[in-house]
Amino acid sequence: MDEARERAKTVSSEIYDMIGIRKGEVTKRGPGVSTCEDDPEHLYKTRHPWSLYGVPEEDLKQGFQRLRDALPKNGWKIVDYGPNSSKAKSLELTADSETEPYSVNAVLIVSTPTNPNEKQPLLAVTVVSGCFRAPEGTKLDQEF
Amino acid sequence: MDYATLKALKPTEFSDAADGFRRTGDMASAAQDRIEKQITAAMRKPLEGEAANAALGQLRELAENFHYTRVECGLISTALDGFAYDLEAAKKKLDVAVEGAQAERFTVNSDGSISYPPGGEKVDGELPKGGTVTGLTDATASAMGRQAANFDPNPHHGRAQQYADQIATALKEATEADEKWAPKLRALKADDDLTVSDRDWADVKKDAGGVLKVAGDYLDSIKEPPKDGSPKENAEWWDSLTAEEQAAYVALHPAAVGALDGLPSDIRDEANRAVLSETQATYQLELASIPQEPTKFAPNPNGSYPAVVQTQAWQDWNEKYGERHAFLTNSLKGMNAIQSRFDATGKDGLPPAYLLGFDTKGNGHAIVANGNPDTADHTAVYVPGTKSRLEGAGGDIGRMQEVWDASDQLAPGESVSTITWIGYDAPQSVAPEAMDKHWAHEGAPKLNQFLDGLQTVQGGADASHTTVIGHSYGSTTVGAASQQGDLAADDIVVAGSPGMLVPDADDLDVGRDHVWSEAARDDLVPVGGKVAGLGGLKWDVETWNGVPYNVGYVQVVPSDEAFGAHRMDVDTSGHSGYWDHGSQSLWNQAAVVTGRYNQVKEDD
Repeated sequence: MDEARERAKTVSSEIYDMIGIRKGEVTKRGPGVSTCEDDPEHLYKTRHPWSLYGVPEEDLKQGFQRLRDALPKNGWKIVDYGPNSSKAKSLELTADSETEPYSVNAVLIVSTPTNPNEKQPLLAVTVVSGCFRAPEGTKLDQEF
Repeated sequence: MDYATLKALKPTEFSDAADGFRRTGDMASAAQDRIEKQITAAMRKPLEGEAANAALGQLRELAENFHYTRVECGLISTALDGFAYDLEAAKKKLDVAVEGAQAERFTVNSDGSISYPPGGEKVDGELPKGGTVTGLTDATASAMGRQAANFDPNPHHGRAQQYADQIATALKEATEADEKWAPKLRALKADDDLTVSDRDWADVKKDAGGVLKVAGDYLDSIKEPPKDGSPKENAEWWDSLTAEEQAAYVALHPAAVGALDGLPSDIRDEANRAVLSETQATYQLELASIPQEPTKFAPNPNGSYPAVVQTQAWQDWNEKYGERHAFLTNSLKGMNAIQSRFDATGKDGLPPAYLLGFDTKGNGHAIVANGNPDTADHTAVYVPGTKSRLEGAGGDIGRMQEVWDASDQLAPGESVSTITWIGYDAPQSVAPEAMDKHWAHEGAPKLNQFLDGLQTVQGGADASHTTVIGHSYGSTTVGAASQQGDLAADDIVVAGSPGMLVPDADDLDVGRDHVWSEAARDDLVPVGGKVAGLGGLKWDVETWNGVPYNVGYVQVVPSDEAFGAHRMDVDTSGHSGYWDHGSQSLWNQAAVVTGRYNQVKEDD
């Protein structure tokens, strides 16, 4: 299962590179293990929410667009893009990898006409995997 | 204990020794924290592979050794303080008697007897002679001694006898203290190996019981916690104790201290984790002593219908051990999950956890915080639903760790604490138990007390932004809590709610704008809740495809538009197999928890 966590970190790393912001700060939490509804005793997924912050809003906006452009060129299919259904109508994209069981979701939280004066702008990225079978004997209620 | 010994004894030597053990315990505690929260965290980053895992395993054992050391030092220092307390009382009696005797110019001899000079009125021209008396503690002998003194014309005789008796009583009490405490102190010696085993932890529990039995007077000298106190009263009580007294209470009454709302979270964690380790060990040992479960089924020896029957061996085993075996196994499942949460702290940025509540009564209860609640900018408290019990703690803690992760994503640089609260007796079946409201009504005051306790340690209602998350029947309990008191929260999130006992979001203390409901379109729980009557009643018109068919009081639950709560998106328009309803749900919950209301995806 450590392999699955490592793999998720690698995917996040690739996404980070596509965004191309060097000077920002990134949240420290790594991927967590979640059980899958279909069989929570044996199936799990990795879920890695993180965000990029501490840079001007303009940088975040450009990073988001770079991500949107780079994903199709790197084996990802964008399945959703546009303002989401929140009151802020933040730009959101969702993409699935065409080669591996991973999905990435990114939300751009910056000042806009529908969200004036954003005090904590950031680019939120979540990498989620498909469900894997845990090794025989693993107690999934002891994995975090 | 003889006179010379007690005279020379300094009880402060024992309380000084107690201080020494307490300092050692504090150092062990600090070392344990450093290992769990800093060293293992730092190590996980650069190192990988078998060697790293082996090293981490050894560090975990080392942390466990420190934990054991800290708990045992707590017991030893409390025992020494208790012994010193009993000795002080005896020593004081002795000193008062000796001073008194010497002030009257009597001589206190090295064996504790008292010599008095001649005195009184001359009889036949002679002053009545002096003498020596020995102290008597036996009531009859003492009375006889006094009678004899009364016949003596020398008034010093009577006085000297009194002093001698007081000295003898002091010696007797000191001897009793010595005999009472010596075996308890001796029992606190650890064995020589460096492994802290189940047996070692089970012994800690026994030792604590032993010390508790004899520490009566010492404990009585410490003010008791208030009975059914408010969190504020509990906090005041704790603050009024000296560091020694606090340590004594944690050592001898860890379960009670751990359950006190209003006390700092690290104190509750310290107390509850001692109970956790002791309980895990004791249950493990007991389980190991139960004989192996025999094969349950065998082919039917009497024909082919039914094809298999329960073996006699199994039936006998089940009658004798079945229930206890199940209880121990289920409790251990929950306890082991909790322990593994603590073991995982630091891995990939997993925040420290705090055990704010723990017991194995009934279905078992646990309260586990991810991230320190006392200093959190954003706090979330999760009230799980039907079938919640200690056994399932792992899954419920995992859920709140996910909320922590998603909240940290939206509030970088701020501190977050998400708390799993299996603190009430939840119904254990959808039907019939969850159709009953009494679980909610009985759980509600406990929830209110817990939330008030958080507010107290955090420093008031405005110190932290607090969200209560109710899942399924948990949301009904939140509704009941709101009805019974003033829910100490800023926002309420409910998922799959069968009803909250009130008809409108406005009835929930936080204001309708701060109530957020999630319910998937095909979730049957809200419908079932209405049937069971867990919602609130509103005068309304029920329609079907726009055609009204009923007017009257109808059941309203949070997912109904009529309830007036925000209805958060669960189904998404952008389809991905992996970015699923669970992910949407987490995003929305985190948006509320971090106060980013305008990032919540909701139906208008």
